[in-house]
Amino acid sequence: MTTQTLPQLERREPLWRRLPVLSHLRNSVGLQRGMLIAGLVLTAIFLLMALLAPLVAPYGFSQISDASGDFPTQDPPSAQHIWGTTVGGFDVFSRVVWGAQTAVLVIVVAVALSIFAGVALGLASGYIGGWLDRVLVVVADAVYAFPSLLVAIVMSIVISHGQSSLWGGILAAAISITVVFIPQYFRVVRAEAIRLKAEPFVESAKVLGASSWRIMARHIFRNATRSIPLIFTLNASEAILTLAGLGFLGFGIEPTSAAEWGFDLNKAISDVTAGIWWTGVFPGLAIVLTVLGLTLVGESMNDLADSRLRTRGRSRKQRTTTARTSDSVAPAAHAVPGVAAGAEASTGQEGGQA
Amino acid sequence: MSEQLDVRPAVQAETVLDIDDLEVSFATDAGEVRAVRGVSLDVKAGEVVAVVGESGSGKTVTAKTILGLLPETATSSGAVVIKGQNVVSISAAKLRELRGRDVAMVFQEPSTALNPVFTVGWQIMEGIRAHRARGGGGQQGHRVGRKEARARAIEALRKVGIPDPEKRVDYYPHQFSGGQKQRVVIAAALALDPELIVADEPTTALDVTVQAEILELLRDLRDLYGTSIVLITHNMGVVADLADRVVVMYQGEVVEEAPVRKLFAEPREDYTRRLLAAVPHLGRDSASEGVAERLHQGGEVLVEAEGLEIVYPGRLGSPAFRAVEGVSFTVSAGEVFGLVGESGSGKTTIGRTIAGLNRATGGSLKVLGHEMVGFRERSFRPLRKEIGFVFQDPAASFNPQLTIGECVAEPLVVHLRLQPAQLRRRVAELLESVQLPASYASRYPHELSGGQRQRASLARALALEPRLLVADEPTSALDVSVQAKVLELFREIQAELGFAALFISHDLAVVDQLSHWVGVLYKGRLVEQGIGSRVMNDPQDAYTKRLIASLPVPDPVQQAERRKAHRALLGG
Repeated sequence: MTTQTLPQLERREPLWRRLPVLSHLRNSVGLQRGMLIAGLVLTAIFLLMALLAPLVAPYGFSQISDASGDFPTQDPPSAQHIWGTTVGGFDVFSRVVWGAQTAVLVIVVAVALSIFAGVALGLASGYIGGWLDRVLVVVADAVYAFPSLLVAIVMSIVISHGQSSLWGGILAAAISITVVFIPQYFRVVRAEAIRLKAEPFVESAKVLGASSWRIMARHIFRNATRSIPLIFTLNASEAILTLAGLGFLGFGIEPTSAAEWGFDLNKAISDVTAGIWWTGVFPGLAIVLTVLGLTLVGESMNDLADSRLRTRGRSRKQRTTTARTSDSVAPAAHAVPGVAAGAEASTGQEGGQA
Repeated sequence: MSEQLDVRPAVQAETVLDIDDLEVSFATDAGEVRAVRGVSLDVKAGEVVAVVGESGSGKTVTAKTILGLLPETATSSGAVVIKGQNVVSISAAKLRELRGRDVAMVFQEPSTALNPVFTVGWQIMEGIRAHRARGGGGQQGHRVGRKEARARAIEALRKVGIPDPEKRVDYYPHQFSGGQKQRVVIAAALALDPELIVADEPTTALDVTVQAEILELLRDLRDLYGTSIVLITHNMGVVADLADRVVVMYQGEVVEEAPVRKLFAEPREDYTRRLLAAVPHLGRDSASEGVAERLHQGGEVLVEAEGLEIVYPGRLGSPAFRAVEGVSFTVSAGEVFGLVGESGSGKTTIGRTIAGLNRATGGSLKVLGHEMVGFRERSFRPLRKEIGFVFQDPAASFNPQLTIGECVAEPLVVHLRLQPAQLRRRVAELLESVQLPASYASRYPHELSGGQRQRASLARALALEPRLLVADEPTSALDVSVQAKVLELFREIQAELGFAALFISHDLAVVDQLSHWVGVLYKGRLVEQGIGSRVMNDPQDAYTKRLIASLPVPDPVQQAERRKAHRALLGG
């Protein structure tokens, strides 16, 4: 049938090209690519700041003096303290840098906890169904119904009794965020599990006599969790906002245990009227830019993952990707996956139906 | 031949559509794909031109270009001339004027082509009124008022044979049956009396008996109103029934173009010949040719249904739905039992119940001696390795995250304890038994074509050497040439391994090719069963008669005769 059976060069993309963010980056063009890169750059700065805090920050987060004596208080930006100092004599720049570390820790702990719990509950609830599903959905809805910050406040009181050490504070913040996020992961995974339950490949596993446990772990789990990286990035930005909100309301971490942007903002309120801008602007900017970066990454991934929203470059080059192979060609010929997709998507299913 | 000459319009008829050197390419993730490559064809007034081809041949893309319906990712060049205007380069406003008035489209799936929240009359009137204010067309700037639009909608519905159109114009789409919905879609296309209708697989989503009615309607449009039709289809029977001229497409190019009788009688191109040879033809190549008595009756009875009843519980407030009622049949070891029926006849439900995916609610169904009414998964599970199941859609029945090898190995892993090396060897054997290279084990499902996937699916179903195989429409998602190969393979493997099979399909010709014994289901009841060739040639039940008469055979001469017989059957 086909005379030109092109030898397929690379059949499977190397692993690094299939990683979530990188594959998205490769598929993007134009404005979408710009947004994704801007988001990635902001996020990278944030992560580097957290990782290299001990190197970047000139002083410790709770340092109020050095060899040359106490730091001045409410000092405007100068060569010594490039972003000035706070009313308590902390160096603003150092605290913003250290604050990134706290934020990363909280995100990692909070998202890790909520992903595990949310995915496990969602799988069980969606696949097994019945009364278990009903109970879990009601609980998730109840948690949803609370304002998330209120839940976070209650949890932080329950967990740390309002006191705070570094890990106590981080855990309190992380767990309170976890409680708010579990229903999100739960709902996404449950909806996917319910959809996948009716897919022929799950039914075929059932017909083979595979146990429910095996079906959930092998067939549903891997297919239901594809949108998780996306929720992860979006939730990470929300986690930062919740953490900052907690800190701002005074449920955060004491300045002597760790640096936290929300807490610093809170302390900067009284400075504003006195014309001291640097104590509020820099932590505020740090929050805004970090959230912006993570949101840009998340939103771009969302758009790129959806073939209807993804813009594609129109190549002027004539590529010879038109060789289609069908079953009747010699078995050595390979099916060309994505190539036919464009043409076939508009063709629709042509086979007859029952 | 003389009959055909009477029907066809004068030879010098004007050209309604002229496609010249059309090229369409799509921008995809894998780069540019040329879907249509240098296609030229023309359609004369009052002519039905069929464009046939397998999936990916570019026939639908060509059809969509005629109405300028290509998505944004497509770029096209060449000329598609309708009434002196080139659709490819025309402005959006001009194109809008052209659509509906000069050329209209009938879509494949009538239930999605109609908007469920508006009455059908509103939807037909929408097209009429959209053209009211634009002068210069057929109406010379004449405004079509609400009343007149309604009158014309009723007229259009009457034309397509909807009974009582004055009342039914105010009905919503869900109040019509599938065939009537397609009639409404055709009525909407006809509302402005276009000279050309593009019908994209107009009967593919419909049952055979309904398909016959719609084909009849389309033929009337040509004969009574002189409407030209571009018929896009993959079904050779439909082509033989309706078309005057046939254009065969393959990989975006026109392979052959000929009048219908000439094409079927003496195809010129190699591809056309192979395509025609692959089409299943009722009454040819029957598995039960010359068989006088039911085969395999000495063996063990694997499936025994006695007054089987399967009821789906109704949702709150609606009554329960009886999918299957009082069905009795047996499948013995080594026998291929073919179950045919139209959509909603309960054939798939029976297959799924035998595999334990649905619950039997009444009567008795014994599968391998296990009573399925009120069955418990735990007691049935050990028997599952004796049953293989092949699903309709090969793309969906494989876990996209696992390789073909892992998928085929799944039954072995679940039921047997094998060493990894043994497992690999067995998977390679299985793949080779369905004529796939063993190296395919490391591929992912999307890297295989439809036919290859269905072979792999068969390999998985046979992995544990089951005594019973349930195949639910295993070839209906495949192209004909692929279907022919898969059916051939199925036949060979069945003859070699001798398992019993329940073969479910809506396609009579396919069932006849494989099955020794055929059962015909209609609305949940088994109306007839018997030796395949006898049921096909000499049906006893009134429904079976109608079903078989409705099936268009891929041979225009024979089909013309069958059509007369079909008319007589419906008339008498």
